[in-house]
Amino acid sequence: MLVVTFALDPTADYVLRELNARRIPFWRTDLADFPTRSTLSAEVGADGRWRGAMRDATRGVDLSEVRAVWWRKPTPFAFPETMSGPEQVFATSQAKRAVSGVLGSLPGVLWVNRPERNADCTKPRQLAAAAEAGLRVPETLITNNPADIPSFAQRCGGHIITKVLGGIVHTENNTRGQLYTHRVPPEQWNDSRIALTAHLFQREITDKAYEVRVTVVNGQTFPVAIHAPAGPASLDWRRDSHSLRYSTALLPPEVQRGIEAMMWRLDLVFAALDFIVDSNGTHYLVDVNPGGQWAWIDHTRDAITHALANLLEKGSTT
Amino acid sequence: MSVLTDRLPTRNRVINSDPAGPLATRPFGLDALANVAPVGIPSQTFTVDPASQLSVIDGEVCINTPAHMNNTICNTESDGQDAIGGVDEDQNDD
Repeated sequence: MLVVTFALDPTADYVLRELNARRIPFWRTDLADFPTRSTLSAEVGADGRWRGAMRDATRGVDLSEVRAVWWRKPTPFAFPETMSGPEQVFATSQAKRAVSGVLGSLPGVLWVNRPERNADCTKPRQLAAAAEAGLRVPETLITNNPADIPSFAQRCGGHIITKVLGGIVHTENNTRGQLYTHRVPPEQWNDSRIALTAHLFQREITDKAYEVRVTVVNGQTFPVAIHAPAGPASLDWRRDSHSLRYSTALLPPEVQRGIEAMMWRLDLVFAALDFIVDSNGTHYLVDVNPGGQWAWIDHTRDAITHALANLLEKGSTT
Repeated sequence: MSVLTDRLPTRNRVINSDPAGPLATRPFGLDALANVAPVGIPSQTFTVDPASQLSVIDGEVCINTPAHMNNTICNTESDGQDAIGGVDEDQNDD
């Protein structure tokens, strides 16, 4: 078994500790280890199978024996600093095609998840897949045309938010900040700077009762209700994780079925899903995190740990 | 399907040093930026325990050290508050 992640991944550690207890052999590596601390040597046979090994100084995997790959949170390939920029671009291009290409070509391997499936899981695609699967999603507009906003906002009762299409972290000027869900008041609906790139706008669920994070492991769902106090965290609970309260949640059957259909459409084995639940109990799918975190919630940590360990040990979704 | 995103997503831990540009060309979406804080040189070192293959911070196995666990990206995902190792920067990965 191959585990691909950064050197600091305490969420993965829960599962790795369980695998150690079960004496399941695995090799943990990071893309950043290649090529300075790890090597790849592979040769394709007449049968189309790659044979060889990927390893570091102490451990590795025989490519013919890999049964599962847990793709967590790797950091980029790292090369000698004396390489020029163009040389690093070339080296990265070579490395990513070789490593992902060889590993991705191995037959009969369980991927949790295939990295290209994670890459495909963009906000527009996940919202479309959710709606196609029968899940409710808030009315959503993606545009760089400010003239689109007023009419959309009117259809949403005047209450709209904007959220980023990608990662929430933004760094500049040697500082780091986060881009949380943000209300867009009427005086900003015609802001000319909306035209500078694409932006996502969504109806604000103004009668939010609570939110639910649903971790999905090969069809098993682990829902937890998240209750945020009044204040900034009520619009985006990520703003203040220390203020949150968690409780058991049950998913309506139609939501459970929708999740299964959406995961199939997105070709994901694992994801952490975010729902907003309104005062009528309607569940709105607002986010699909194919590499999402889960271990910080006590209620479901052990169950998810065991579900992932069981899946990786089995090496198959069936 | 065809996508334009990187097919091999990774965490990007680079802190950009470029200052913000003029307001006239600053994308509207960046108005939501919150919790802006200077980023210094990380004081911790992250390694992997050679025997257990678990995460190690400054020589201590993270999962066995509550003080580390309470402040790592495991527990403070995305809120950016004193999280050892920073918050996740990659796409769709909160």
